[in-house]
Amino acid sequence: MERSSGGTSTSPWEWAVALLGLALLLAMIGYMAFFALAHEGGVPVVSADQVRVERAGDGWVVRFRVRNDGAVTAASLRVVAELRQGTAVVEAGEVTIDYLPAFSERQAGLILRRDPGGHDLRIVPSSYTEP
Amino acid sequence: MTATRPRHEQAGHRAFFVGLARAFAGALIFALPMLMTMEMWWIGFYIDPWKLILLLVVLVPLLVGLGVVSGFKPTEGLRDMVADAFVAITIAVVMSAVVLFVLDVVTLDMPPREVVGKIALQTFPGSVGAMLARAQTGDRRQTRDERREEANYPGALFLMAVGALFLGLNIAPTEEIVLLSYMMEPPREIALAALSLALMHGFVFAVEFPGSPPRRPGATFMGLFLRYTVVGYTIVLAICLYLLWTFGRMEGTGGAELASACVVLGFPCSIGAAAARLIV
Repeated sequence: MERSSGGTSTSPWEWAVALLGLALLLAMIGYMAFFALAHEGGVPVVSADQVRVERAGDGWVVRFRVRNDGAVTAASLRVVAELRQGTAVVEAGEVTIDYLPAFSERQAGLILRRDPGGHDLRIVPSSYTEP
Repeated sequence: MTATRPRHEQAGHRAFFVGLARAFAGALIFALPMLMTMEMWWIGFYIDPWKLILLLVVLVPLLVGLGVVSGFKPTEGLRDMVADAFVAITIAVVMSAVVLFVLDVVTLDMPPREVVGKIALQTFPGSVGAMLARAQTGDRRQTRDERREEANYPGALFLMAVGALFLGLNIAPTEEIVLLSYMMEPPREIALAALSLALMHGFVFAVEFPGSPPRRPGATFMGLFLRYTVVGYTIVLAICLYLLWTFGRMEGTGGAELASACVVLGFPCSIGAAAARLIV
């Protein structure tokens, strides 16, 4: 049917794949536009939760998860941890996470010499850079 | 089932699948360096959504233009070129999604913004590769020399832009461009710009005079230099600016540093621009 009008050499199969390509392109553009309009600007909203504590060699490893509920990426995100006994800080550590994209989570680990079980462990995101 | 179909229809289907396979190969060859570059994954999620949308919108006329300029399959009309462009996009999306998933760069528990951003960014080089591979089909070889004779000036400039974009996309996202621009002093930057121009002109010369006698009587050294090399380098610098802006390397950067980054990125881009006229 197409062949008669101006010598087209595109087969129905090719038209089907081409239409799929158009749909994919429009979907990507549409989603990005929707995302941009729904979440304009803002700052990263970062939280950290402890996942698990494991004995590792002479020390302990605290695995934790950081989550970004904001619509922008945090780069070089610093997370500091303090192990407290009452009001005194008995051990401290920090982790830098390269990138934490919008609405994403990443896991990291903290290596401590003391058992965090008997202490108060605080894991707090402290700073980031804009990519 | 296929045995009952007419012979020419089977041949058509075979040609279609062979064409798809070629396009996949082309998409892979063009996009692999970028699929395995970590900056490209990061830019995929932190890029300003509007810049990504602009990149995807620019892609369509670029692919159609590539089909027209490379002029394969002389029977094809503009509608077929548009169809070819969207076939190339399908292939690039599927190829990027599969490769990024296998490489664990895209996973199922990532938010859609990250997945779509990473795949959409890779779709750009992938579909250019797929389009070029599709251009290799048909009776292109016989008409290659004739086309070069006919190749018009805007077409040649367009091809230079595609070549610059191709090589520039590989290099623009990396940290090295910015780092080099910090490291290099102005005399070296001027030397690099001069070297880019000289190499570009060497390629132009090679395209214009494949044998010993000049084919075109009007093609003097200065004429070629101004019409192709200088104009080509200007296009290259404009593309460098666009790429640096798209990848977020321009925000808050001073004019001198920006010019410096353009010259550094302009080096590979000018080689790509000049070589495109030899390759495509």
